[in-house]
Amino acid sequence: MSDGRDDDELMLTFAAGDAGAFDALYERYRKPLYRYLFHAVGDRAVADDLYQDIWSRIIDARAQFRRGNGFKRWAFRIAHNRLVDHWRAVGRQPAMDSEPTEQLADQHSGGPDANAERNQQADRLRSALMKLPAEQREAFLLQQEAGLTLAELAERDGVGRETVKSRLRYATAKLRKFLDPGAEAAGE
Amino acid sequence: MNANDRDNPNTELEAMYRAGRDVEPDRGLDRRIRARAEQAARSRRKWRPPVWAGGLATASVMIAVVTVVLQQPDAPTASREAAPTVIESAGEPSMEAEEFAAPSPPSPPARSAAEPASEASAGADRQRAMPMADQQAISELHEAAEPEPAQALEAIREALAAGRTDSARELLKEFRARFPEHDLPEDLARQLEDG
Repeated sequence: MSDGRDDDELMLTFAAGDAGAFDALYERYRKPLYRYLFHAVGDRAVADDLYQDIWSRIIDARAQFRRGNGFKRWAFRIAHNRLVDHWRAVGRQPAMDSEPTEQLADQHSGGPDANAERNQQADRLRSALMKLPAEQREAFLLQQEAGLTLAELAERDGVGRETVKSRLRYATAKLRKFLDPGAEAAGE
Repeated sequence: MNANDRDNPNTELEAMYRAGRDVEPDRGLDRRIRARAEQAARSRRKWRPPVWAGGLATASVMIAVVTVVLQQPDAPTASREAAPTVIESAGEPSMEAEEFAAPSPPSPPARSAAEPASEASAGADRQRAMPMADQQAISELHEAAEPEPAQALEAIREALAAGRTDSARELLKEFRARFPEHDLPEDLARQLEDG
C-alpha cells in the first residue's frame, strides 16, 4: 500500500474519522515500532503486549495530535514512555540477562547457508543489545529505528548532546566487544 | 538525518542490525490493532456533537426533572401549572400532548450523544467516587481545548499531597490518555507505583 500523504496528514485524517489513513500509517510504522520494542525487551510476548498497548494509546490520543508534532517522533516517544512504565513495573531494570535468540528461534526457517549465517549474526546482535544498559540500548535503537538525531535524542532525554553521543559511543564499543570476531571464529 | 549528527561511526554494526531486520508483529496482532482503529474511526464518524446538542441535552434533563417532580403525589399545584404539557404527556394523553410529543422526542439526539458517554461509563463511575476537586480537575482537562500537561501533573501532585492516592491514580490514567507522549516525572511515578 502506498500513500503520498505525509505522516502528520495521515494521522490528522485518521483523527477526522478515516480508517484508511490509519492503515497507511500503520503499514509505515508497524515494523520499526515492533523492532524497537522487541530489541528493547528481548521477549516476543512482552513486545506484543507493549506494541498493542502503544498503538491503542496512539489511537486514543488521535484527537490530541497536531500538525507539526511529527508522527514518527510522537509515536516513538509514546513507545519510549510505555517502555519506561514497563521497566518500572518489572522492577525498574530491563532484563539484562535475557536471551532473545531463543524467542525467535522458531521464526527463522533455516533456509540457505547465507540466510542461516545472517540470522545467526542478527541473533548475536540481539543478545548483545540485551546486555547493554537501557539508556545506551535505547539510544542505539532510537537512532536505528526512529532515525533520531543526536540533538533529538538529547532533547527527548533532557540531557546534553555530548551525553547522548557518549552513550552511543559506549553502546557501539560494547556491542563490538560482545560481537568480538574472536568469540565467533568457530562459526566462520 | 543530519550528517553532523552521525559523527558516531558504527556503520558495521548498523549493517549487521539491518541485516537482521525480519522481526515483525504477527498478522493477528495487526488485525486487532486495525480493528480497534476502524472502530475508533467509526465512532468518530458517527458522533459529531452538533452545536445545539448541549442545549438540547439541558432541555431534556429539565423536562425529565420536572416530570419526576410532578409525578410525586404531593407535588404542588403551582408546578403543575408551570408545565401543563408535561403533565399531560406523563399522565393522561390529550390531543395537545400528542401533537407536541410527536416532533419533539429528545431521545434520538440525546441517545447519539450518550454513546460515547457509555463507552466512558466505567471511568465515569470511578470518577464519581472521587472528591469534587479531583473530578473538577478531570473535567477541566476534558474541556480545555489545549490542555497543558503541567495542569494535569499539578492535579496529580495535589491529590497525592492530600493523601488521595486513588484519585491520583485516576488522574494519572487521564494524564496518560491525554498526553501519552509526555514523561511522567520520576518522583510521581515512584509515589504512584510504590503506593
